[in-house]
Amino acid sequence: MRLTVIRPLIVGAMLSGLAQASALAQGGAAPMTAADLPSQLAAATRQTIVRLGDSVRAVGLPDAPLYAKAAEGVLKGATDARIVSAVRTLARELGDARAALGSVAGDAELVAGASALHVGASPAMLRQLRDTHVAGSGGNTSLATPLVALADLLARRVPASVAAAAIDSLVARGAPSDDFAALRAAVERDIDAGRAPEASVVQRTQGLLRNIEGRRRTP
Amino acid sequence: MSRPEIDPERDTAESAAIERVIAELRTPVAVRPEWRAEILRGAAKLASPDAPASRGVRRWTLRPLTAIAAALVCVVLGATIAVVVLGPGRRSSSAEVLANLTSTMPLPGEHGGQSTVRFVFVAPYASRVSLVGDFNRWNPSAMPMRRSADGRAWLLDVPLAPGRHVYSFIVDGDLAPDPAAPRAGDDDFGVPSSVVLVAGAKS
Repeated sequence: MRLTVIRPLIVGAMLSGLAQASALAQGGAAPMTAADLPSQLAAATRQTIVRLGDSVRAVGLPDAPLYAKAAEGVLKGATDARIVSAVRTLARELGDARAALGSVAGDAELVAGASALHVGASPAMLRQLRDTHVAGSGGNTSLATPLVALADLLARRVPASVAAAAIDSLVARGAPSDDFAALRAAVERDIDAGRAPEASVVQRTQGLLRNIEGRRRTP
Repeated sequence: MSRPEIDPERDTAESAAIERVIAELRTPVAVRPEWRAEILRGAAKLASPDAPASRGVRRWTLRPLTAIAAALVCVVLGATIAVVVLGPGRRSSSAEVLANLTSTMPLPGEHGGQSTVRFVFVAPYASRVSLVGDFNRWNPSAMPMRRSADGRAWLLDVPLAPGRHVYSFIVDGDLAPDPAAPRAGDDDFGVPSSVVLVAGAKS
C-alpha cells in the first residue's frame, strides 16, 4: 500500500520522535503512559485522552492501549476529533470486554476481547467463549489467542455466528495456539482464492478438530 | 485501429490477482511422511536402468492431457518470472522469503517475562524499512530494520511482553501492513495494521 499523502506526517513524526528512539531501542517495549502522547496532539485533545485514560485506570482497566491508539492515529494522519472518537470507543469496548470475560481476565485478553467486539462479536459470544474455556481448562491459560483469531475471522467478513462457533469448538477441545494460527491462515488463503468465508471456516475447523482427535488417539 | 487504453486500476487488480495465485501455488503442500516415502520409492523404480526410458518419454509426449498440463505449468512459470522481474509493486509478499525467514514470528524462549519476536518484511528494492507499533509508541524512528544477508528481507528482533500487539512497517516513507500476519480488526484510521500475539501466562 502506498500512502504518499501521509508521508509528510511520518517524516514529522520521525523528527519529533528521535529523542525517544534510543531509549526505546535499548529498553524494549514499555507500556505507554499519558506522558508519551505525541506532541502533535492539540492541548484539548491531550486533556480529553488523559481524562479517558484516568477513568479506565480508575476501574482497573489498562490505559496504555488508549495512549497507543492515539499515537497510532497521529502517525496515520487522523484528525484530533477522529482520534478522540477512536480512543473513546476503545475505552468503552475494554469495559464491555471485561463485563463479558469477567474480572479475572488479563490485560491481553481484555485488549483482544475489545478488538473482537469492535469487529462484530457480541458480548454474549465472548461470555460463551469464556465459559467454554473455564469448563475446559479451568481458565488457567490465556484466552487471548482464540480472541485474536475470532477478531481476525470477523475482520475477514466471516459471519459472526459461524466464526464464534468455530473458535468455541476449538477452545472446547483444548486446541493449542498453533491451531488457531493455522485456522486463520488457511481461511485467509481460501478467501483470497475466491472461496466463501463461511464454507472455508466450517471445513478448516472440521479438519483441525479431526487432527486434534487423531493426536489424542496416537499414544 | 486505435490502441486500447490502459486502465491502471484494472492493471493493479490483475497484478494483485496474479500475485495471489503465485503465492497460493508456492504454498508447500503438506504430505504425510509415508506417502512421501512411497512416492520416492516409485520414483526410484522409474529411474532404474531397466525401465524403457525412450518409450516412456514418447508415450508422455503423446498424451494430450499431459501436454496441456505441461503447457499450463510453463505459462504459470513464465508469469511468475514476469511478475518477480517486472512487477509494478517491486515489493513481494512474505511467501517469497527464504525457508528459514518465513514471516513475523515469536522466537523460542523468553527472558524476564518477555519473548523475542522476529519481524520480517520482504522488500528487496526498498532502501529503508522501519517498524512501528504500540510497543514503540508508533515512533517511526525507534526501530529501523536491518537488511537480511541475502538482501531480500528486512528483519528486526524485538522483546515483547505477552499479549496482543498492533504494528505496521514503514517502507521508504509509506505505511504497509504485514502481508503474512493477521490484520488488526480495529483499524480506526483507514490504514490497516497487523497483529502479533505473544503467548504467555495470563497478563
